[in-house]
Amino acid sequence: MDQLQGIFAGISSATDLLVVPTCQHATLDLVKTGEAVDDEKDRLLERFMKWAVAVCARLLAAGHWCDYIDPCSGLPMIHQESQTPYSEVEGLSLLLGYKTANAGCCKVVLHPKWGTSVYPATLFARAPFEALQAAIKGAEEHLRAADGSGGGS
Amino acid sequence: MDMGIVNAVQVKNDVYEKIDKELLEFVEDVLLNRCENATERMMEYAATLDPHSKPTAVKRLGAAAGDAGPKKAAAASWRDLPVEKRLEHALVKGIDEFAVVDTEEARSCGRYPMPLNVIEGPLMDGMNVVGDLFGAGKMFLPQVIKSARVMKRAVAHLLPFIEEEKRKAGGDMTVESNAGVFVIATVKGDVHDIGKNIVAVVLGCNNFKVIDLGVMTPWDKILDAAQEAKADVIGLSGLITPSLDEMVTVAKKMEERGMKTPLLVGGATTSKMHTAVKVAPVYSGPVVHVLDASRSVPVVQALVDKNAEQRQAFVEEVREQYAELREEFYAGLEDRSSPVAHQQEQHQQQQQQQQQQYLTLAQAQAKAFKVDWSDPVNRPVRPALLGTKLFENYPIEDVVEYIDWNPFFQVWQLRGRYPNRGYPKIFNDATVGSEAKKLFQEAQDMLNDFIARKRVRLNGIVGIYPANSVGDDIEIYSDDAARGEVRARFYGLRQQAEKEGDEPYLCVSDFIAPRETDVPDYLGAFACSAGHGLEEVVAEYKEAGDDYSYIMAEALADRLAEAFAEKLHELTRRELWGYAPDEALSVDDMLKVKYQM
Repeated sequence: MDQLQGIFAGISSATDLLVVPTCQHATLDLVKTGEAVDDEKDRLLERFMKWAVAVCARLLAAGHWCDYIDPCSGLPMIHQESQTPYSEVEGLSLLLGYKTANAGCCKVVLHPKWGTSVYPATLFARAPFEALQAAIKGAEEHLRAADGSGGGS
Repeated sequence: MDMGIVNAVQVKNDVYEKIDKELLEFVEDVLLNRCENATERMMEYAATLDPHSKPTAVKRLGAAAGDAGPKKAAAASWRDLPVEKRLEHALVKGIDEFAVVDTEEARSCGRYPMPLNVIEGPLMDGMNVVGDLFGAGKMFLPQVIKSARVMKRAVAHLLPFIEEEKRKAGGDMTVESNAGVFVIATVKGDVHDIGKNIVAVVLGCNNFKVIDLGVMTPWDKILDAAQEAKADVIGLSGLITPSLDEMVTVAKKMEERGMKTPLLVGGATTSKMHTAVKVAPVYSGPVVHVLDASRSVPVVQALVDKNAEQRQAFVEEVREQYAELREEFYAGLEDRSSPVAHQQEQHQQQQQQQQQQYLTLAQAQAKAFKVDWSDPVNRPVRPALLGTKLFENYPIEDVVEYIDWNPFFQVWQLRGRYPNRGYPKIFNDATVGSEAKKLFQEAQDMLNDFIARKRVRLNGIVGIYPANSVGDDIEIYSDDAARGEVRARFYGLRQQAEKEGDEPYLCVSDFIAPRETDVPDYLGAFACSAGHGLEEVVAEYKEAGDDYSYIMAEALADRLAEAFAEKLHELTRRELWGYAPDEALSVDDMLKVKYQM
């Protein structure tokens, strides 16, 4: 909680705060280096951004507080006052009990099914669970209709 | 007016209510078509204005000396504030010009009976403002480090007076003039220190006495120093994975020595989970994981809190939190009900049943990476250079364009939000853009200084030798043709950890033609440094109390070393070995490793 306060200046308590960690299955092992890995990371980044923007738009329209983390900088995208980053790896390991490993000097999360072929990114919302579900459903329907490809992670 | 182009950002910035009233009249006459010659009148008026002035702060051309303009007026006015506010302003803005003068005024104004009170009062108040702004994301690390410069100047001025007071008080040297003693070190086997240096600076300007033991510090040196200095807190830093184990060792040794000193753990390789699960359990004193320099200050302050109850409460809170983390960690391994844990457990069981499977060396060798050495495409290119070539005092100018600036901004903790991450897009970031630009400019200035005064030297050496592989080893020969006398032997380690699928088990020797193929192959290597002369530069800046410049120097030397390595590798590919003579890659592509290997 104390960490969240550092990241989101406006939060006063952790009650009713929904943390929505997402994981996308990458087509490659993202620990490796190279252009293919960079391209895949970019693809997954854009995909998360589209999804998060759509979900948050619906939540905000319904009057709920929400935000999502830029996977590259770890900084919240909607509330931009803070420069304190959120660590996806730390979050997933503390909240979901995922294992972590060290790759060089970075920490990476080990997804139980996908190992290191995973792209983690988190969304936060202060809203009733049903509202979140509705927002996600609405967003995913809209995105699916827009590009005809399957959504979900 | 028939048509207009609106700059939305500018419209927001130039708040309507604040627009100069005279200007507004002229402009609205045009927009609202209020009079016939509105355009001419506006243009005449515009001609009298300084084109750089803002609509909200209009300045006339050739303004009289007395009319200094709003910016100068604001600039001068902070000097009119009471001395405490002046010190705060100087600290927040990183202006050290008046630090000594203002500190002296504070010392002799009568409100602070002891010079120490000036530190504990207005100076620390100012640093707390810096800390708050930093925490709120309104100030960034480079500015905080600049504040450190101001703080040091001020404290340095007070030091002789503090010493004098101590002498007068009958040499009672036990009176502490700092908030606590902090011993910090990068652990054994690890050489990374810029992050640690930043923590040292930040703590130093928060009135802690910091004893920095440097890098690759064995546990006994850390503990001896801590015990000798009666440290209030010990801090360990590490970047590479092996440092995690070393930190556990340090903690164990502290327990063995019966120490009670709080231990702080930090660095890229560390994590709260690891600290809670591996470090905390082996030491009975307080153990706290700290994310970065800014987080270190409140933690250390809590640990040296003169109020024992509050101190204890903090320690307890951390202990409880870590105990919970440990429980969750171990529960996650055992819990069969959660689907995630179940999957993990299955994976775990598989691993345990097979116990981290390794192939035998023979098995791994059988699955080596195979190269058809008879295929002409695999024919090793004969190097243009055989032997070594020394590059002494390599011109910095020739290496500057190869610098990858991304790690530089990371060290200074400037992060650009999507889509402005990385260099050079970070300059466009709304929050950190201008700070990043300033920092970059200051880096350029220092680089130019390095070049002009030849302060930091780049030395490197490249060697290319006749070589063939023998099993997992690589032999280096004295003579290319005969290949009779073995000058040296490199012992290759082969991968043996079991892999899924049909992937080969690699060894570096797989990439050099085996002796028995009679294919003449070669091995290249190089070593380079951008650190020659850096020690003197750093010492000079430290002497002058200029932490900002010394950290900048280290960060730049670090970048130059890597850039020099890129350059040497390029020279090797194109000339010295020459296996890619027609290569014409951009630096961007080089940093993406797009060259032929």
